[in-house]
Amino acid sequence: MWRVTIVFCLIGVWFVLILCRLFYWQVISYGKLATEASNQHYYKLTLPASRGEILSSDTTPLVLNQAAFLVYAEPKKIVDKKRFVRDVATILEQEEQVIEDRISVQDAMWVPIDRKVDKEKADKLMEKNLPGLGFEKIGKRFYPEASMAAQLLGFVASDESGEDKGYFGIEGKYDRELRGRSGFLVQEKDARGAPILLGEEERIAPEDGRNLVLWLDKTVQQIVQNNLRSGMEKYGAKEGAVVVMNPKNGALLALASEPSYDPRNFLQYPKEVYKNPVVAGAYEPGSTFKALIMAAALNEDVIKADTKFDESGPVQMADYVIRTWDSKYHGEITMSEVLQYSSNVGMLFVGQKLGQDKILKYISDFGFGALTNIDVEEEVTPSLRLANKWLPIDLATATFGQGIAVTPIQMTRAVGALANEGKLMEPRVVKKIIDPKGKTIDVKPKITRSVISKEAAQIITDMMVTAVSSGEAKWAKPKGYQVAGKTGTAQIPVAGHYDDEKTIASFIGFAPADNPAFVMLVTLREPSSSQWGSETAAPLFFAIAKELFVHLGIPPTE
Amino acid sequence: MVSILAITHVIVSNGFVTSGKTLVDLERDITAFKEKNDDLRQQIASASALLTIEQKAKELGFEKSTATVFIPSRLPVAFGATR
Repeated sequence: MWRVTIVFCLIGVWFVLILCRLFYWQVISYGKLATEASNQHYYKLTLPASRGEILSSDTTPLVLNQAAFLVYAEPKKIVDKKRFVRDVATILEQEEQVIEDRISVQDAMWVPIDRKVDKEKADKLMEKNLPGLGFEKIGKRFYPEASMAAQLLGFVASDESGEDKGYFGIEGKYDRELRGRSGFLVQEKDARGAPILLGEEERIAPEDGRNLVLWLDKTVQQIVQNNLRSGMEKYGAKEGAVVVMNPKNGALLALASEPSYDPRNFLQYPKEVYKNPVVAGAYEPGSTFKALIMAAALNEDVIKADTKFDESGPVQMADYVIRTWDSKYHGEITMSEVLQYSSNVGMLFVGQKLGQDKILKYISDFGFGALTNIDVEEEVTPSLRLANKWLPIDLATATFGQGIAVTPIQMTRAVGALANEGKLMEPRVVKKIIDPKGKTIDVKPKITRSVISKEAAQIITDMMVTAVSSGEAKWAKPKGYQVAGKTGTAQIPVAGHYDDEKTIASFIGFAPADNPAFVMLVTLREPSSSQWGSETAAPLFFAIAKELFVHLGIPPTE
Repeated sequence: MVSILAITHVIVSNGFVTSGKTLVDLERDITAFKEKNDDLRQQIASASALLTIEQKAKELGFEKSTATVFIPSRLPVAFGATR
């Protein structure tokens, strides 16, 4: 009987073992086996979407895609570790130790070696035929114009999940439109790996990113960049920026700032230069702001171009004394001459005529204290004081552009309104969005509001023309052209007071005055050759304008 | 009739199944052509870039024009049509 019991027990144990094994295969190893079976039966492929291209206004490319590779290692498949490290490090121009550390991670099945490796290097590595070295095709941005308009375009880098993502500028703002959507393909395959046409297939086609056509004119951009670089060198400025906009539709024709970076090697530059200072940097506009306050006073009809004012000496305001920039006083002068001499005390008179409420209304109407809604990622706006926080001295200094912070794009747009019959436009970088099927969406110009009347705009234009032709910067003006403009020199606030030496020199203007083709702002930070806008920013403005007249085919009229 | 249809079915199915390899080859060719097109587009973009043109112009001895002459749209009488 005991023998029967033993046999019965053995059969029972055998049965339990079989059950355990079945449990192992069918429950514990289910996922692994299902994947292996799926890999044997199906051909799976991710169909990556191409990132959209960025084109200039003549549809020539500014940013394209080029073939690149993710190079990875499968450490367990490496046969000759020493040779592997030496060959990979040499071709990828990396330290051997770095490669060795990467492939020495314990139990790692797959380790990335380098991303965005160009085709040339990848081909060299493929020729080596190294066991354990793999390649995955990925896209990479290609910049035929090198670092042109880098801070406007932005760059592409990896996000937290390793996916490409646009950062800053156009790449950041239009990331969703540019990136598209990856697709995938799952298809039954035969023993040789060829797809079975009568078998199962699931295909979701990739949707490529949309192409963007910008308003940016490459020639204008090149003119601006070349002149800005040489101007900064000539005047010994630490930083500089130039914006060129069509005042009639808000189209941004060029935007350059220095220091800048090369988007191909953005990691080699400090992060501070990634942000575009034209939309993300604040400065005090100084005397360039006078044109706007004067325009507001003309629009309210509290002054006329020939209204007289007695510029007899400094003006006392509370504990402060307001002087002219050169401490010269011209006696009885007209409002045109107030702009021409850039008279601070003259602007106090205009401010008093206009009154506190109107000054604040026009500052707000010209778009200060609010985003311009330019289509780049990093725009910020310096905030304005609340209406009840303005002291009389604050309003007085604001009339000549001190104690108020603006961004260069806000200032360009506001003066653009003077050139556009008083209409304030939304600045636009993108002109058209083209989807992969060729469907085009035109980005329409947008008028934010009408700030001043057409008549007031005409009068302030004439006054600004006189300010240029008879003012401090008249020596630099191109002959034969009517340019409306205003110089500005603003001291830089440092630790609660204005620095005597450090200034931001600027010039803003538009031309030709009777039918403006462009409004342009030039700013130079801390120029060392002279601190005055009339001796630095103004000649740079006119040097650029001269070349723009030729490029845009604008003949002289005088 | 049934056997003819069965044989036809087998032949057609066999043809479909084995043409998978042809399909793979065609898709590989399409990918290669696309890559080649992208390469050519890049080369054209680089060769026609302002930066390249400016550099070539300098090498060839071109200089920036300093004196531009604008011709008015109304021609002087001497250039007008003769009667």
